[in-house]
Amino acid sequence: MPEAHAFAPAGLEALFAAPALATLPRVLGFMDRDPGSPTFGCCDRAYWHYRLTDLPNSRAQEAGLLLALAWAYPGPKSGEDNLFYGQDALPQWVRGVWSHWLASRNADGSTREIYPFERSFCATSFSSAAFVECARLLGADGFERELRQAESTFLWLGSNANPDVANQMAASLHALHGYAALTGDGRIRRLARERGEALRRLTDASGTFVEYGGLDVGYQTITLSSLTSVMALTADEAWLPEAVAKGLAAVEPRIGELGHVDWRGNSRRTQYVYPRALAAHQSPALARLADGLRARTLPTPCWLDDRYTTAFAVDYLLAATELRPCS
Amino acid sequence: MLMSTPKLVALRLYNITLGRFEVCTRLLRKALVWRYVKNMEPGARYSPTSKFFDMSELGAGWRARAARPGNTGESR
Repeated sequence: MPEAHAFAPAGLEALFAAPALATLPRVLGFMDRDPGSPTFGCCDRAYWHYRLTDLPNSRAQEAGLLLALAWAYPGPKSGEDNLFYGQDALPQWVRGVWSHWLASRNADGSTREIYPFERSFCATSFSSAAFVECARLLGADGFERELRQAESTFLWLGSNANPDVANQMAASLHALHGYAALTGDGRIRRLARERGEALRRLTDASGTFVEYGGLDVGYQTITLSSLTSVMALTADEAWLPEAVAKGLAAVEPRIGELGHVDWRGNSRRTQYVYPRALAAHQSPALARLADGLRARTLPTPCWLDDRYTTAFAVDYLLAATELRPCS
Repeated sequence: MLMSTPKLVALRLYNITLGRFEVCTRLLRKALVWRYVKNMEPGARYSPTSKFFDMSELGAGWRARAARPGNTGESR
């Protein structure tokens, strides 16, 4: 029945919010929430609690964005069904998350994911993008000191790149434009424009944002989610609306019944789909993801391991926010 | 005491050299249990099953919201 697949935000918001909000207590368990602890704000439980690793994964700090989104998001029933909405404890924890992130960076501002002295473009891009989004959500005035401290990270991000993978380039673009919008820093804005040009070169005529030489539906939806954030931040990237539309058109036919994707056809074998860009741009494929959620057969944030669940939950909550009738 | 890179390297070197012998593995285990489980202040006692999130950390406000019919599985 085509009518059932028409874009109908009313019931969809709750459908996408539920897995994200259900993941929140798990993600809070990843975090050291004791303000007296030397690792207060660290969200890598394997490091601060189990002591199994010799350094924390900076991508775990993206939990700060999930907490900030949950704090700001009233829920489908306007505050009744999101127990975390407006709770005072959350902004304090978010500040702790970013204090730890700032303190655990390399001297040049880059961050680490796995090994000592790693300068991870991926982790620096995504954690920086989450940092600027948090500052936007909680108010840049309260983040002035942290934004000043973080400057070296954004300068590093603008001077380093990984052109093999478009999703990391898109996240760095999001971070750079976010920082420039919050601080008005002209150097970072110039670096952001250069990054935009570099990312543009990673698209092809079919709408693919290249991931190690080919299309990967999962990573393409991550790229499109970051680019949706960039479009909300700046009008500088005039090429984006058309590229995002083509990018969506490239993945929509690959998202089948119940939202499933044949991972064998993906350049990076990704099993899941990030829903936010599909929600923001009213893609017909969103209804197929919703069918999968109703049938409880679609991989959701709860299905993923500790390493991937947080970023996926962030995207589900962003999708729910996009689907709010007033948004 | 958090794990550090030198400690991790030392531990792995022990694991793949002396650790091949069962008696050394048993000794290491005894030393770790003494250091990280038994020899800790009661309040700081290490337990992998602790420090998960508890709703009481949100203060009092969440109770009223959670008790509303739509959030308790009751019919509305």
